[in-house]
Amino acid sequence: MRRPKNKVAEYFVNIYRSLATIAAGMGVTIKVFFQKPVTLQYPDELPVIEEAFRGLHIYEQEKCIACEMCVKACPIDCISLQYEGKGKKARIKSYRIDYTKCLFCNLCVEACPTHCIKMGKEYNLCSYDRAGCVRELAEDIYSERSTVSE
Amino acid sequence: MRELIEYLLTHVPLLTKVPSIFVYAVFILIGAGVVLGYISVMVIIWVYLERKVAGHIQARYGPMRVGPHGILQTIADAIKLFMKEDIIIPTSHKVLFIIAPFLVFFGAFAPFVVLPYSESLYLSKMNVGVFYLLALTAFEVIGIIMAGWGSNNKWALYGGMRHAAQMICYELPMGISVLTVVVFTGSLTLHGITNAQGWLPWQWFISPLKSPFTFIAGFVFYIAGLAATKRVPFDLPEAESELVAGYHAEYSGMRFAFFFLAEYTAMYLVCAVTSLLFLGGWNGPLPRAQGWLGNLLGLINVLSKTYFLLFVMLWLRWTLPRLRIDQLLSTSLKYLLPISLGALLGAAIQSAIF
Amino acid sequence: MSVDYLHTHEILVNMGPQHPSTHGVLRLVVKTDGEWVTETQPYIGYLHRCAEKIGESVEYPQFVPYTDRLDYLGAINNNLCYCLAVERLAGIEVPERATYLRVIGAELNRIASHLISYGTFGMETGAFTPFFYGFRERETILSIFEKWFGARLTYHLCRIGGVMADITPEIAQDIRDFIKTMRAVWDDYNTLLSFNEIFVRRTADVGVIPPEMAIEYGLTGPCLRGSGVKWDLRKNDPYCFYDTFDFDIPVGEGLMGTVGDSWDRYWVRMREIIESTKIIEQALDRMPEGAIRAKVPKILKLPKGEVYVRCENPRGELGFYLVSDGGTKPYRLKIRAPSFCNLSITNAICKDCLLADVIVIVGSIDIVLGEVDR
Repeated sequence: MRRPKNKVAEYFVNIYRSLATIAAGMGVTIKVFFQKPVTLQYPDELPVIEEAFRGLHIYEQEKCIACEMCVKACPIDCISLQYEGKGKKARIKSYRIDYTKCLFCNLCVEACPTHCIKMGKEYNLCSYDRAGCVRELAEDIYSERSTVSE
Repeated sequence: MRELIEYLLTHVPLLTKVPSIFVYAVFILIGAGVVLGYISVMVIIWVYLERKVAGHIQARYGPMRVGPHGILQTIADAIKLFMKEDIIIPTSHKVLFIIAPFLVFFGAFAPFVVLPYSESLYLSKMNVGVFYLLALTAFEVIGIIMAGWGSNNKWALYGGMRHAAQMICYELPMGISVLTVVVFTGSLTLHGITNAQGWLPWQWFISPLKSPFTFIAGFVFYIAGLAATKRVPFDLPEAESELVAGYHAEYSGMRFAFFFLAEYTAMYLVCAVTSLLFLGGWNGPLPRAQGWLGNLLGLINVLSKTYFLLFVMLWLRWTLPRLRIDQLLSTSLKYLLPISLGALLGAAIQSAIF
Repeated sequence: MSVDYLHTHEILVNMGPQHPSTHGVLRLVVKTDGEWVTETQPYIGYLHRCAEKIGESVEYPQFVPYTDRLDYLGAINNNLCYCLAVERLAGIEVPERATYLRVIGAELNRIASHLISYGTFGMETGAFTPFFYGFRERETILSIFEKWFGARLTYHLCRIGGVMADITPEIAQDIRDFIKTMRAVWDDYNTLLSFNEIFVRRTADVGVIPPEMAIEYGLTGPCLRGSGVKWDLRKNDPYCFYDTFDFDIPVGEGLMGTVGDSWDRYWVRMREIIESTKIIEQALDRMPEGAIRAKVPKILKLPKGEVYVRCENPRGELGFYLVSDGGTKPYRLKIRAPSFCNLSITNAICKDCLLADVIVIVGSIDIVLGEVDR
């Protein structure tokens, strides 16, 4: 946009340009004013979560062979695994993920040879304290049984 | 108001027994209370409107949670503001800090004395109405400078000084564009000016058919009014992205609410005065009538014009970027002031010849 | 008669770390004489997270999600650059389809980043609405990303040897639809902000960086191109087949004022949005079928050596300098962050201007503090 050389012409061109561009901008905003808003009313309308979404982990304990590949793959060491035995006979005592640290990077899922851990659709991460962010994904079925037998 | 009191004094036997000075005092207080109540209720509606308009312009809904479509949102916010702790920072200048919000509000509230709502719905028919109005609107700036200085905060000081510069510059074109109208009417009362305009849109001062000079003056007045109320694109005193919150950076709770109230009151004032001076006031598109019906139609006329102007203000606010301080001053002194002076000259010639 | 008694005091103002328009936690110490700024000194380091040291203490594939956190607005570009560096040193051949997917992801991310820059720059000049319009379109991109690989901010799309997920025809159609709307909305953006007289007056002739000065300070990206220097690593040091795509490199022409002013830098970004849509369209058309990940050993050991790979980030030249001693972790990792180098010019140009100009200049440089402090 070139400014006119003549001072008097510039004066009136400035006035014209200000008014014209302001009017054009107002045209854009009034157009959107009459369109339907694009936002979601969150707690009433929930967003559609896609299949590929990387949310909180889903852990299938019966498939797990306690190979610790996910623990090694984790860049921030947020997975802690306690077990007895190895392979298919492994007894998983606890499988904890610390969500204050988790990067949701999917590396643990890719490392898992038996596909026992994957990332789910759950996205509500809030809890009342820091301890609530550490989620226990495994059920300690074996030690429960042993306490009953004793 | 005076007419009403005199009518009552002569016709109601009970009132003649008490000294007339008490009657005047009581009725003045009642009048002030009514206006204050009106403003408080209206501000709640305007704030809601502003947030809704802003929301829809920005492709979102605005407040939706409190009440159906969020209509109670402003009331909830007002309650929140009243319940908040009133913080007076220890390093501030206590006196200035405390009285500043009230002065600002006074500057915005006092002009309502001369503001008519329809032909016979007004508080005072002061013979220097417009002059009084402009004078008291400028009162606000003292409060803002006091707030800026008293806060003992550099950002607040910047805001206060910016507003002082802005107010001085924009009072000039504002006053001169009012004079352009006064040249035609020969009256400084808002009644006289409004009644000088006819019932049809081309008889209003905004119409180029009536006078091309008042047409220009109308725009100048509205733009200068925008600047006087610190609205975008002239919101430099409280520029969020530059001065954090400007002169009210250190205020909270009730005191902040007063600044807030004053801003919206001043907005309403500018829109109402523009509608009275240039858009024909109660001489509206609605038909003329006698008695209370005429008053009602006049009220609707004034309010609809005011609200339209208010909507334009919101619309501008959510469209435009902000000016820089040097551009703000040159807009006033290089553009608005010469234009309004030219319009005044033209209006004088026109009124002398025709 | 002496006028010495008329001297004014200079005020020292701390702009930030908590200030609405410092893009995070930047602290600017501004020396002002009234509204007039005489000196600006940026202080950084509030967001330092030892990114380089973390890179030296985790294995190569494990550092990729951390690169998301450098320039969090252009995360895919960061992933891409780090992966390229590791792949070049390890000699991993990336499948062709994966490279095209990387280009699509990186360019979509560039658009998203520039949309934020558009919005925040509008915000800094006082216009609120552009911010929401920018975010409206960015939301579409994020939805596409969510559908594609499941994340909305810290993507971790690029893996060493390929990408995480393939796109379905449905996602490809979504991307094409987005490009169509983006081009239509782009005109609205310009009507609303770019050509608005107030905006032009605020930004033109403000913070002028002459081309020589830009090169001296090591500016890259839109800040360098805004000064009229035609330097884009996608063309000048091509990677990921960028040399085969047909697109222009927008440079500042001084359309509204001087070459190298804030408006030019802004306008380069706006035009890059359109250029990126061109690249995405071509990539979608030319993408072959095939694998999306190369065979990479589970425990990746890099041969002894060093490599420096640079990529064109939304903000400029992002470089990863890797030194390997033959182990599973880098011996040394140095990140050349574009925002850090671009920010170095604030001292030189944020002086003898008004207070409002400082905000505009810092906004036009478009820094991300996550990357400045690393």
